[in-house]
Amino acid sequence: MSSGWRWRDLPSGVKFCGRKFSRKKSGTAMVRVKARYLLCELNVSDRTQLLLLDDRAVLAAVKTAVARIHGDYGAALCSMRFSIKYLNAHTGIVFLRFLRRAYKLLWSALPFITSIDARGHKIPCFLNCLHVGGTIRTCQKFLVRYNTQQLHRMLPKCRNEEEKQEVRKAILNCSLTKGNNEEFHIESESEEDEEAQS
Amino acid sequence: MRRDEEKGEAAVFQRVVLKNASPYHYMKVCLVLEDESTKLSAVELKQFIITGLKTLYGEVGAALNFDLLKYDEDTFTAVLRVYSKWLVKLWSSLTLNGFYQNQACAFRVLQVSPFLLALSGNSRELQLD
Amino acid sequence: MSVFVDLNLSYTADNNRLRALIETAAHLGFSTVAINYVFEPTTKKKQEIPAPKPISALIDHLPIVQGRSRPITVLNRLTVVMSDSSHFRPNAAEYRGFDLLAVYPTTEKLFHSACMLLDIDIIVISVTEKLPFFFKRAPVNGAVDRGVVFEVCYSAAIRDSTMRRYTIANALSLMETCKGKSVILSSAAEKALELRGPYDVINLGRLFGLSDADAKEALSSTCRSVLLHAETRKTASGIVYTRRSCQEDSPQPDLCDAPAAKRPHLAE
Repeated sequence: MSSGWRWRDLPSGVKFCGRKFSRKKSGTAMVRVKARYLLCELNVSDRTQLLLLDDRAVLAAVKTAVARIHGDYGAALCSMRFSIKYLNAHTGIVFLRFLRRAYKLLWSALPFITSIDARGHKIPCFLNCLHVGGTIRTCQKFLVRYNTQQLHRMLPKCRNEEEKQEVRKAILNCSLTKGNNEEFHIESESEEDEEAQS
Repeated sequence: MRRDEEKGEAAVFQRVVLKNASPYHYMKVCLVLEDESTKLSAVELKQFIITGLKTLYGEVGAALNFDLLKYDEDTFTAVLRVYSKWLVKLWSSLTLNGFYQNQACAFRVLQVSPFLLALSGNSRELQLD
Repeated sequence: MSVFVDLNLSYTADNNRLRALIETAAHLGFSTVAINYVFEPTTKKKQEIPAPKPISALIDHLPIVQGRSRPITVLNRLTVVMSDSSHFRPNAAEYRGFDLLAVYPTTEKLFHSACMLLDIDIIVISVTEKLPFFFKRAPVNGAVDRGVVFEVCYSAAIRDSTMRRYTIANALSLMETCKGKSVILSSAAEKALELRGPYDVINLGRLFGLSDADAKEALSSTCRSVLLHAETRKTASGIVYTRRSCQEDSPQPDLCDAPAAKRPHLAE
């Protein structure tokens, strides 16, 4: 037994040698709760099925996969501060928030998701992790860059001049006002993205 | 050594540090069952341990490698071998195993050591004459 | 080899079962155990706080602790389940009979007052349900400063898979807030087979996010400081201590009346 007796064994405000002895108040500075955000892409064979997805379906799918792969311990870790921060049903982009100390363990269960149950339909799909970030902001920045890249790749595949013009305009749009109104641009780009693909 | 002698104060003891002496850890465990007349074969015991691992650590835990080296059916005492890296996982799942076929049970971990030889005796129960 | 303590063995009216619990604890190497009486006040009718049974009435001779030559020490402890602030009555005469005093707060407000105000030793963390509130730094730090400790019980995790998830999740979020210090691990066992050996529990602490050293402290020295803290409640600021000089009615005056620090098993 090392230190048997400590200052904190005493009730507060004990007087020693006539001087009031009190422990220094520990600082109550706000500490940010650290988390990891995973930016994942939902890959499905039939893109129209994506619209059936909602937060809860993805949440349940991740939870069951973690419980299956990592058992009770994983399920316990997964119940702490785990949430779906953002889901874009049009493009299948999901932001997952994990506890930072356990994100690797939970991440390792994601590849085992083969289907998601949503509104009575079983949608076969898999999750592809694109980016891991410490804040939503970095993930969002990455997503903007990623989507711009996708547009660039789409450009040579366009079938007629009209489509080409549209994609060019989109690229110009997001490279001009980069960093100003990202949330809005994610939305607009994504829609372009889908339009060009279909 | 010769150099030490030249210094006058010779080093009498030599310190030998073994790092990663053994990749394995050995555990001596004893299963205590509520109904002591239950028979349990070695295969059933291993199956039981794997089931415990699977509930606590899922399929990853069930894939964990460990060996049942020796098992005494009369006293329910077994010697397990496991990679040191997985010792904590195996041990905690043994601790949390509470039921065997709907009867209460408990694993008592008697000894844990990286050397199998150490399990042959227990210094804490040594009777000094 | 340090002195291991288990501050929570559930009280049952069945004497044989209680005796088996104490004997198993001694066999596993626990030097001190506390029998836990749970008091759950409800609004409907007035209930009596259970009176602790004297240890000598429960068990004739205390079993010898494995690995040492002294008999096990058995204490009494009261846990008050608080769902309202009126449930805990400070300075109630009924509390005097117990060596340790614990509360189980069910709301955030009560948790805060338990940490900062109430004159108690242990705050029990719920392990059978999802955490009803988050642990905040301020009250937890206040409790650590005052010497009040948090208790995590592990026997619910043995019984049921869902409880196991709650136990691990709640313990992990507690450890995150208090950084592994001033936490105790105890069994809350009802049957002898729900008890685990001290080294098994230390290993289990790894699962709850404690480091090896912290987990060992959670079973030994933190428990000891709880016992000392409980001692200060009976004394004037832990410095002045009075005791009756007539001792004819107590069978073993040295063992019963000396402060916990001076009791032989703890002096080692």
